[in-house]
Amino acid sequence: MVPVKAAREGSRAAVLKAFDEHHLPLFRFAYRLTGSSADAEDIVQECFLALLRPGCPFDAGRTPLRTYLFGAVRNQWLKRLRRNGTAIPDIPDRADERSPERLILHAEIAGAVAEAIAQLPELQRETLILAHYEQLPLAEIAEITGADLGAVKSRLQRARASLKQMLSAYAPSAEKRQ
Amino acid sequence: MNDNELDEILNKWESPVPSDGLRTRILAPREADQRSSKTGSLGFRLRWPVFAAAGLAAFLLIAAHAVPQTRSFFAGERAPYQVDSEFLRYTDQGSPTVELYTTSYNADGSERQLSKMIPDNVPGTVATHVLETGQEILIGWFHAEHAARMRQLARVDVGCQQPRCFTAVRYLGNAAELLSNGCVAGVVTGHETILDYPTVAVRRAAGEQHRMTLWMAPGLGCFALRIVTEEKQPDGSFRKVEEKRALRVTVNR
Repeated sequence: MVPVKAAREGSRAAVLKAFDEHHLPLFRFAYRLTGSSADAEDIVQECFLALLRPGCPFDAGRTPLRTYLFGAVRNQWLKRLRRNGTAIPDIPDRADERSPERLILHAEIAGAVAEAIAQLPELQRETLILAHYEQLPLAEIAEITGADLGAVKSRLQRARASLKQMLSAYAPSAEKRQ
Repeated sequence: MNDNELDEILNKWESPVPSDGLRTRILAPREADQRSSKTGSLGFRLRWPVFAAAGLAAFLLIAAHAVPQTRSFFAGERAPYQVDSEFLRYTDQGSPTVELYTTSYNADGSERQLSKMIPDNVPGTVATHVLETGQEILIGWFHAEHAARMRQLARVDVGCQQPRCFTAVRYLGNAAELLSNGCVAGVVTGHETILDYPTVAVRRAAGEQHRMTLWMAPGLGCFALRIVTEEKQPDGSFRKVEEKRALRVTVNR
């Protein structure tokens, strides 16, 4: 367990530990929600700075730090969404045209995945990202998103069904038929 | 498509890694706090350069009192707020390095620097700060008319001039006009809230091969909370080469 109280009291080691333990998955989550590295960094920065400010409502007795931080990233994202509207994600650059064909295809699929996920409704998008990319248990996702377990399962199911449809052209079985 | 196929496709969308600057930005305010408490006593291995710099600074401060233009500052003009900022430089591959931290504020539409810090380079910080202060005083003495004209312009700190990291400065035109027109110092490209302050984003050319976008906060006397400098590429696109980011705004009561 990370000593958050020690972190707030300025212990450099505690701050480093909290950051090193949690910043990568938080950044990945924020990146996939926003589609932007710069926005993801801003969100993660804000979450850690808020955690260290006096008066932060985090209670280690009630919620694990990881769950709290994922929730904080989610809230920062929703705040930006309400303020700025849905942004167009930074689609991954296509590989150099001189690269082998498989690299170009990989980049194209990555771009298609990013666009498809960006088109999901927000609640389905965040659930899918947390479940697939961060491999969080559904119960934890329910706590992060403030939903019940049934709603989380339903959102995940609908998200995956939509993605199967949107990305059907890239299915290995579709390639073989071509 | 079955579930395994979908998982395989989803896994092709990889996340980049965050920049090294993220860690620095989160730790920097806390390290600055700890550093200031550690240096309360001068039991510190840089004692003699600090004393030498202090002696020179004392001379400059005494000299500065003789210069009318600086008297208002020392007569107690108090910064209504201060902004802690970081300045980054980007490599060709897009990875940033923090070159400079500053604390500054705007007065009459022009930026005034309270302090600067070159990461991991205390002697360089002291040297450039003393030399920059000395230069301003000497210009005030020997080129008073020029100094008076410069004071009417809206000055903004945009980064580091390598190799010594002297503060790179730009002038955005008449400061009074800037304040009266809502901080529009170029073509307006958008509006954004930064650190809870509404800003207007304006873009202007910065030489033939560069352009600069500044996020100006009317609520902070047109202080630029963010500046991005981009370099034109052979294919006509622009690549980010420098950036100023405000980390924190502290209102002084």
